[in-house]
Amino acid sequence: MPNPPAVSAYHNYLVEGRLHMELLVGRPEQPHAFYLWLHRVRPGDPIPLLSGRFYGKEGELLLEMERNDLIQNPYGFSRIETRGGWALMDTSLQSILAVEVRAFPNGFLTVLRGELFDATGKRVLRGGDDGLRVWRNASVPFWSPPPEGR
Amino acid sequence: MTERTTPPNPEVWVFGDHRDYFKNRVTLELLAHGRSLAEALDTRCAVAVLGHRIETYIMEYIAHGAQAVYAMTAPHLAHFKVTTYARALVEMVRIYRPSVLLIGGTDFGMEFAPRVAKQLETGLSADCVELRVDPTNGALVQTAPAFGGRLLVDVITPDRRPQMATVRPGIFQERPHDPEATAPVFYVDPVPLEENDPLEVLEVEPLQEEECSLEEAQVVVSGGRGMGSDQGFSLLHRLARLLGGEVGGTRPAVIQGWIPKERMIGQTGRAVRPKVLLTFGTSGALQYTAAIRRTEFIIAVDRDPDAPIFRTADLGVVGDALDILPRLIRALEARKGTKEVSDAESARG
Ligand SMILES: Cc1cc2nc3c(=O)[nH]c(=O)nc-3n(C[C@H](O)[C@H](O)[C@H](O)COP(=O)(O)OP(=O)(O)OC[C@H]3O[C@@H](n4cnc5c(N)ncnc54)[C@H](O)[C@@H]3O)c2cc1C
Repeated sequence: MPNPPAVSAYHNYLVEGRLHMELLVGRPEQPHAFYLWLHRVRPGDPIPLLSGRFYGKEGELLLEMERNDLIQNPYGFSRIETRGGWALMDTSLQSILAVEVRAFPNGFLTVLRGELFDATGKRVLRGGDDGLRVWRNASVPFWSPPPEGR
Repeated sequence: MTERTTPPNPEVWVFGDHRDYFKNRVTLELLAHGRSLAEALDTRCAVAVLGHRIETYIMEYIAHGAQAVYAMTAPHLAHFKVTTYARALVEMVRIYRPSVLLIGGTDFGMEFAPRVAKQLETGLSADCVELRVDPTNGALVQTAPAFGGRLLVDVITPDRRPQMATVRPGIFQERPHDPEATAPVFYVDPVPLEENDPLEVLEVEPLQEEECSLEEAQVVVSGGRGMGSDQGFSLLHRLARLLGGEVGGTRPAVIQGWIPKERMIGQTGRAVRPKVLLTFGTSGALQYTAAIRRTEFIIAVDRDPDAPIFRTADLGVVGDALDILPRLIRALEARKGTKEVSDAESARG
């Protein structure tokens, strides 16, 4: 029987009510497709790492980020540090995605809040207190990301 | 490194009792011992955990050696309710069929484990003090007190599975926390809430017990019937204060009212594993020594040179405890006094 993906003793993301050490949602290899990649955080690294290509309700590209760095940013979003994490905010300080890190005595759990849309403007993911959830029947592939070298 | 597939042999499971997690270490202790049992059985050791919002415990179990975690989470599993929890664990066992199931011998575990065993129609050894694998047939040998505690017997469960045992806290040593560890987590669909369940948990209020950290103490000073009285025990308290240790004792000392029952060491009391244990006027009955075996260094004082305690002790002193103790205390106080004077002098310059 295959094992489900491994969970870390140190840092995980909460997605669909489950712990994920790393997770890839969507298709990063397609240049005009939504994706969200939650990267593994190793002991000693304090902050969660995200990559992704996010779209607005009209299907317009809002931004692309690679390991927390904004690499495409036509609308001038900023990554603002918040208490316990950071948020992606537009020029009117509206957040599209907030990253909240909950600290335990020996580890961390990252919870994402906000709504993410694909390149057709369909809502794909929604994040709240219980972590990120796939929006209704949005068909979005989940992948175990390829192992990341270190 | 996480393996890609589940192991070929049925697993060793430990029930995740996460109530009062940072004090109640029994799950972590069983997990450590479960790892060695699993190694002998060529399988892995997993934790089965129930509850609501238990992410932190899942991660802690992985850090402390769980090679897999089976988790059932739902709001109605938030409280440790024995009926619901028994149904839930039975369901998980029926799906995944572990070979061994270990449960901490806490008040909850003592009530919970027999219900689980009954529903699974398997055997249960209560209050085990040792667990090992018989290399000839792979059976789990469960060493437990029997016949009113006068004997320690080896029990096996030849036909039924899982082989179930409860083990009291403090018998085994937990593994250190490893933040690099990873393990797969199997999320199991929650069992539904019972209809018409006569038992409803309204609130959980922790019992206010006397503060007693015998299990974690680095130095334990213990006494038995040979201490003779309350006054004898007050000597042990003075010694413990000087050494920064905790006081414990044997059953007769509890029965005589010289120490509270929370401080009884033994098979029916607490298991200790300090760096040093000083034990005075204790004959060394099996029910007592079973719970001090994990001590790094045992010093025993007894006036009977043939007392069995000397077979367990690293250093034995034959003599009257009521004579030796005051002298030992005076010597330590004098040393402390000298040190305080010299500290004060060096502080004054
Ligand atoms: C089901 C069951 C469970 C039990 N569980 C426990 C348990 O959890 N913990 C426990 O402790 N017991 C337990 N017992 C009891 C156990 O069998 C022993 O009876 C008990 O441990 C003996 O305690 P003791 O060594 O203090 O007393 P004793 O066996 O009477 O020994 C007293 C010792 O003190 C020495 N002595 C006397 N005067 C002096 C002196 N002035 N100076 C120096 N030495 C002196 C004597 O030589 C003797 O060796 C259990 C028994 C049963 C049946």
